[in-house]
Amino acid sequence: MTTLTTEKPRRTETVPPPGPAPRHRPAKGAWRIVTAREISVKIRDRGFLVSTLVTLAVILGAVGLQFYLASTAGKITVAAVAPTSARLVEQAETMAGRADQDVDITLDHLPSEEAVRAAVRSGDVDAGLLLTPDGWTLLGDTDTDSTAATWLGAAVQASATEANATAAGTSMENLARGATLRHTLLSPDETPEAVVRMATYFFGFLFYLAAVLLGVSLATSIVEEKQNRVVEIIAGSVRLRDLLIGKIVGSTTLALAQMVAFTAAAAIGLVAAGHEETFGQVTAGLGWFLVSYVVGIAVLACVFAAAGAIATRTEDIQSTTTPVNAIVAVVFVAGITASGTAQSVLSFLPLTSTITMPARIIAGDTAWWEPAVSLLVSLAAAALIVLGAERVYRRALMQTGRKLSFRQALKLTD
Amino acid sequence: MLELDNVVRRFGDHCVVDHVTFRVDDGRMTGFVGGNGAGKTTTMRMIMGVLALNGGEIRWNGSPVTADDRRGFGYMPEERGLYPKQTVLGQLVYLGRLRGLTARAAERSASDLIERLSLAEKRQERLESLSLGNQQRVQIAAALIGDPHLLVLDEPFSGLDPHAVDSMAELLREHTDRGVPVLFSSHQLELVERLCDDLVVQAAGRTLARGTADSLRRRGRVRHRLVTGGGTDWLREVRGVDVITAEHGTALLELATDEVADRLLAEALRRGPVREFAEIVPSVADVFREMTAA
Repeated sequence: MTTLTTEKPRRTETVPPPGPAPRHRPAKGAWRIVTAREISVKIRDRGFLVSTLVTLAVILGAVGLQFYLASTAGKITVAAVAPTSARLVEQAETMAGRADQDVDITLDHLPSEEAVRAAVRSGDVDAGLLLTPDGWTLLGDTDTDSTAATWLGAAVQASATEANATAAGTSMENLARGATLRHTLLSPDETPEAVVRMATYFFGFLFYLAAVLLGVSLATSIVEEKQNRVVEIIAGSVRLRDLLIGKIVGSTTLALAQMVAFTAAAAIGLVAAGHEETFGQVTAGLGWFLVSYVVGIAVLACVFAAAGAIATRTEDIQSTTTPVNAIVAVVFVAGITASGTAQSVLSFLPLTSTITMPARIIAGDTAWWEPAVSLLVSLAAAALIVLGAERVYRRALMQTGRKLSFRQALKLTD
Repeated sequence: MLELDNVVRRFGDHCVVDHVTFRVDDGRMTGFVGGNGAGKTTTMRMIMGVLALNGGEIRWNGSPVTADDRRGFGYMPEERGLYPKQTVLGQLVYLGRLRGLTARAAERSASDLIERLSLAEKRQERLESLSLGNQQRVQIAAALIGDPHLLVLDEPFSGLDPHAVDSMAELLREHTDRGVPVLFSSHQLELVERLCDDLVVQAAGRTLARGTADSLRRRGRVRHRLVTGGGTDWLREVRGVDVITAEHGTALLELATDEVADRLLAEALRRGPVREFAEIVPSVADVFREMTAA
């Protein structure tokens, strides 16, 4: 007798091997599945929704403020005693109207000079107008109201000149002959410099805002998967590159959607506040801005993704994204301040081109091929950074114990 | 069938997995045991492609394992974790789709598993709102989604109550019955002994032993117990028999060969009634202790 227990028969002989199941084909374009999840989770995330709505509210608030300021500008009340003041005020309004300025002066007739002084001091009126033996005097409390100073000043001058002309036996027309300065623009088709500068600030601000909104949340989402070890399950199913690209595309798409919402709000604001003209000048660059924005943010997202890959816990994000944030700040400052050759150079470099190239397009000093080359450079940079980020990501994947530096992460083996 | 052939993994100068060789046969439940730092988790991560190999080869059905093969491997990592803010159904469908299932197939597979693991009421709840036990079930579902053709489970039973252990074991048995090879690691040696068809014992990165649970137990010292109606003094005279203890007609013996057992039983029966003659096979835990102590 050898044994009293019998060995369990090996099942290999009785059950045919399962073989490769046909369903486990590579998920075609797995990054699309990642992107879809990234977006669907994010738009349900309260933090994301709140920050987007708050930003929209801030933009709409700024537009509202513009409206308010536009509607109150040029409306002043002036206190006066002399009955001739009414004619002067009327003339001031007429002259302002001729100069395309919307000025509305309400005249407050008061019984005495003392009453005028009191009204100015109390702030009930914006200015006081007194007729003294030496001529007209404009009263202000702590400073002189500029609208009143400009237009009442012009009216006083005009009426005095007219009176003097009559006294000298001539007329205003004779006096004014040859006294008009004509304006001619050499480049009437190009966008005014002030508008270009404003647009550059606007592009720079949008870029910075997007970096703030997108960067840390992307880095956090990547570290979250590392922290939760979900990535260990996913790494067996998809290429890490697909995972990263999916996340980058998802984040960029969302950032783009946010930007569309924000720029739409700002555009509505510009139109509503009566700046249709400015808007028309800016839209020329807006299309290019959106294109270079998509690419610029994608480049930035790749860098933030790498910063997320190096971190071990969410708490590390703060320190691993610091260098990236510094880059963003430098890009922002350089982008909005550069001019001339420096601006031209920056408009070909990744990231800085996001701000400077659209600004140059609006200014109208680019050849057709320049934006195209700039975009190609950015795309190449994006591809390189994705490959580098994948390497860092893969190598830092199992380093759960400590935070890595970019250099350490590149030194690790798979 | 999964084969590991002289697989090596180093971290710096430290060799964590040192020429490990074993296989997981189709339809067999293979237990992977070893103390802390034995290299079990590292080995499993290499099977799943999470870590690269420094040497050796891993083969699936005879050919070097590919990314496509791995997409069909169900994996439960030692460090658990899923998306805390996503719904149970949502993340199972997502993981299924990453494995290459169509949206509909992933949804069906996820729903089946949710039903099967008694999570039907929680399917639309966020993972973080579930109890730890239920979260563990979702983790199991994440490994099983899409009918994997190999299961690699790192400590799948830790943190489960006895009922959950039973239903989990039943679930795994269904997979092996369909021919799916299952590799799981565990510290609970009694559990491993109860569930496993095959065993791989690893210590300090080396494979100490592999084979069926039974053959492994027999590598330990197999003893025999003899209970007779009469005396036991005569036992000391039988060649090849080493008497460990003997009193009141019950003796614990160590026999030199199997042939001795037959001779001994015949002699005992000639001398009087034999109430019991049985092998005492050591438990896996005993053998493990003995092996790793050396």
